[in-house]
Amino acid sequence: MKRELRSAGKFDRKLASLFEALEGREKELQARLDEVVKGLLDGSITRAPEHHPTDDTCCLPLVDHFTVVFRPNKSVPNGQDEAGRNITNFASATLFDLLNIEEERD
Amino acid sequence: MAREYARLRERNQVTLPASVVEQMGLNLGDIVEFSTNGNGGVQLHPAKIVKVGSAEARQEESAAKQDIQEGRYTLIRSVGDFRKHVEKLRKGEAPSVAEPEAEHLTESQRHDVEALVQTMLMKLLSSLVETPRGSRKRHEERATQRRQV
Repeated sequence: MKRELRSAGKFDRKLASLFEALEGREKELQARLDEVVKGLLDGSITRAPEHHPTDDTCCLPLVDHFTVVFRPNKSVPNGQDEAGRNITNFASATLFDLLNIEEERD
Repeated sequence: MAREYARLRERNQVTLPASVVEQMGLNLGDIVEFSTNGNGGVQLHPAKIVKVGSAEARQEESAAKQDIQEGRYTLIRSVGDFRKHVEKLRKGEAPSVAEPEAEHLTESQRHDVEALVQTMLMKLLSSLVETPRGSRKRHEERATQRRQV
């Protein structure tokens, strides 16, 4: 199945900021980003915690407390994980929009 | 609007006025974002990574969705594409806006287009072939008129 990602302009600016913020750890960040992008494109990542219930967004951890927010074009609810978070299954999605990078730390 | 001035120093360094730092809520180590406004001016924004679930986060997600809707995105089809994209971002090069996908015609649409092109070509060819004949005919008619006169 052919899958594609669309990296929003806003996401790009956040990503550039994150590289600046994590100066000296660029390789680590790039490696994790590659892992996420590869997983979404080849279908090896098919589930992720729900980010916001009303707009079908999901999130995946990057490094430290930073998380990438994205929106698959097809998804279904898939129960909850051990931490009680709602999990979304996007195995049949073919297009993912990369929207933002946010911090989970309180 | 309050105006403050700063001098450009070696290695393009500028010290932000204290009032600007305070108004933007910046702290040591914060990242700022410069964006050109298209009129020769530059805008400065705090480039903070916002907290999950905050109002700012929701606003940023909406802005990102609008970017996608209005075509301000880069299409990524492979990890290689993504690496090149990140490299451009880190060099400060504006990422390319995705080209709209070429529309694919159905088999019958393609057949119709081919038939139309063929008809137009035939008309063009026949007009090219007929033109000398037509001009010769007109020339002969004019010569006959002159002889009659």
